[in-house]
Amino acid sequence: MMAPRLCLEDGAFSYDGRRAIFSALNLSLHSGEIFCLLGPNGCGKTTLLRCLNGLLPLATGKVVLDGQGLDSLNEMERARRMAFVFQEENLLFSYSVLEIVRMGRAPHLGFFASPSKKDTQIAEAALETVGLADLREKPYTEISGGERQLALIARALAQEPEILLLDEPTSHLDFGNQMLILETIHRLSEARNLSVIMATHFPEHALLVSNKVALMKAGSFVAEGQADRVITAAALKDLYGVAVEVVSVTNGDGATVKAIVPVLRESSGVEPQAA
Amino acid sequence: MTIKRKPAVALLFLLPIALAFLSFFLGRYPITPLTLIRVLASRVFPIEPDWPDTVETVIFNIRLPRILLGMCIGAGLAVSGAAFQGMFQNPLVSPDILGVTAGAGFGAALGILLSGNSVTIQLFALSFGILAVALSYIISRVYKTTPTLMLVLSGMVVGSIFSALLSLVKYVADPNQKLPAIVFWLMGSLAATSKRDLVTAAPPMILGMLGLLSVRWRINLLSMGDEAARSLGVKTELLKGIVIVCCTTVTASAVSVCGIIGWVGLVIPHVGRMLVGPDHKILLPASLALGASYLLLIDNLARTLTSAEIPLGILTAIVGAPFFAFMLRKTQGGWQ
Repeated sequence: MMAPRLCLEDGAFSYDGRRAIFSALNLSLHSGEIFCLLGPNGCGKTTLLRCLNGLLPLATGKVVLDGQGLDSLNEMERARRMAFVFQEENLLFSYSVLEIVRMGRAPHLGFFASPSKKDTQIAEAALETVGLADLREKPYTEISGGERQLALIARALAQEPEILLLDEPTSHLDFGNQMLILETIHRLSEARNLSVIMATHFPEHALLVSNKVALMKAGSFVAEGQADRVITAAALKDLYGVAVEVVSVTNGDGATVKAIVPVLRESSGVEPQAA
Repeated sequence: MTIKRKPAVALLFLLPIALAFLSFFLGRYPITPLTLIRVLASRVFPIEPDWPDTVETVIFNIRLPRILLGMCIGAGLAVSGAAFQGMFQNPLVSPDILGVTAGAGFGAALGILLSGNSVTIQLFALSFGILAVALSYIISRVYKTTPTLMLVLSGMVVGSIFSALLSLVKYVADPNQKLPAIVFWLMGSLAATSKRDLVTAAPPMILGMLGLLSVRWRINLLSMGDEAARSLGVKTELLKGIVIVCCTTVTASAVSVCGIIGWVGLVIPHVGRMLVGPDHKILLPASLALGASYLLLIDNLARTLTSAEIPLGILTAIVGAPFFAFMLRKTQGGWQ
């Protein structure tokens, strides 16, 4: 077994030093793996991603990147190996899509330098990879939500990282765009051996693309392992308090895939009178 | 309508140069273009002077320092404004957001109250301007970082403290001599510009501008927000520190020699953005050229419109605000 690319060892974090957002977490991510974090709002997924990226300091424990402690790397070295795709970026200034993606070259440039022709080519290639080549001159503020998410993924690719952290990349998107983002992530991890950690609200997405899943509740992992083993009706009921049925479906290729069917709870309100 | 090609941006730089040349002919003492060229050239080439000494005095001791200083101040305020608007991700920010002008205004008023000597006034304005920004920065620091919102709020706090102190100075000042001097100083003017002002104020302003220009692409990264910038490998605290130090050097130096001149740092970056787009790599040089041209133009109006000089601070707003309103209506915001 190869050594993991990214490890979290006994990690804990707290904003105020009293109430822990998460504690005693262990996690390891191998080359080409897609790791999904599932859990209700406020369970600490985003905070965990920030700590893994070094944006927030762990209270205890450590993050290890390819055998090196994250603390021993400076911002530039981190950003060359690990990219963070944020949930949404509200931008005031209407930079072009290409300009946004070109910003991904920052960790490869000296302090006073600006992107060269080569950097622009790398940015253009990244746009090509996510299928946005035609939008390069469009203002970022004028493209759709799905296109923005793809542009941010392209910016992360321009960093030429080995590890990609994504914070709910499919929230705010319509059904088609959700699948487009998932397909892109899946393709990248296969083709480039990218290791991905993705926080998501959709158990189905974890079943579709991930190798590993961790279910997170109130700052700790309640279950961890292979997606189809971890995501069970009982586990989801425990995590979200919602009754579901997990069913197996045979898709067009003859492969068996799992699907989640929520069950509506008995209404506690008054039934509307039939006319 | 944005200009994307580099030659078009370079063309913007011809504007202040042409305006500067034309500005030499404005004023009560008439000078012909030929004389001007010959007088200027005589400093480099061996030309036998056949013009009166007065011409040389007017050109080198009065008009040249005033033109150069005006351009420098306009350019500096505009570049600082553009850098701050990017860093604060806010189009309503001007270079005095961290209290530099309030501090400098108080310093100058105190200098006038205590001595009235122009060197003292300049030094007091400069030091209190820097002090005000330092205070804002210290107040806003939490957990070794300076969140943008905290900076804006602490700038407001410090600004209002120094405004109150300025009122106090005005209140105790002798209403016959000191008070009018303070009031006129605060309105801003280049009327008394001397060679010495140029020599003391221009170098720090130019250094500050060069500093801002050298990190201009990185201001794009800062404008994405602290977290995004940090995840892209940017040392945000260092970069913010550089931007704040440079902007403060420029603004405090400008205010210390010419008083408070509003609007340039707020409006010119918007005009720049409408012309060349939001990329700070192009926006900062464009703002520099536009700011230099704008203040030169306003100063020319200030000294020729009426027989008495009109304070600059009044004209920048009276001309700038309606123009800004027009541009806003025409582009519906411009930064969107």
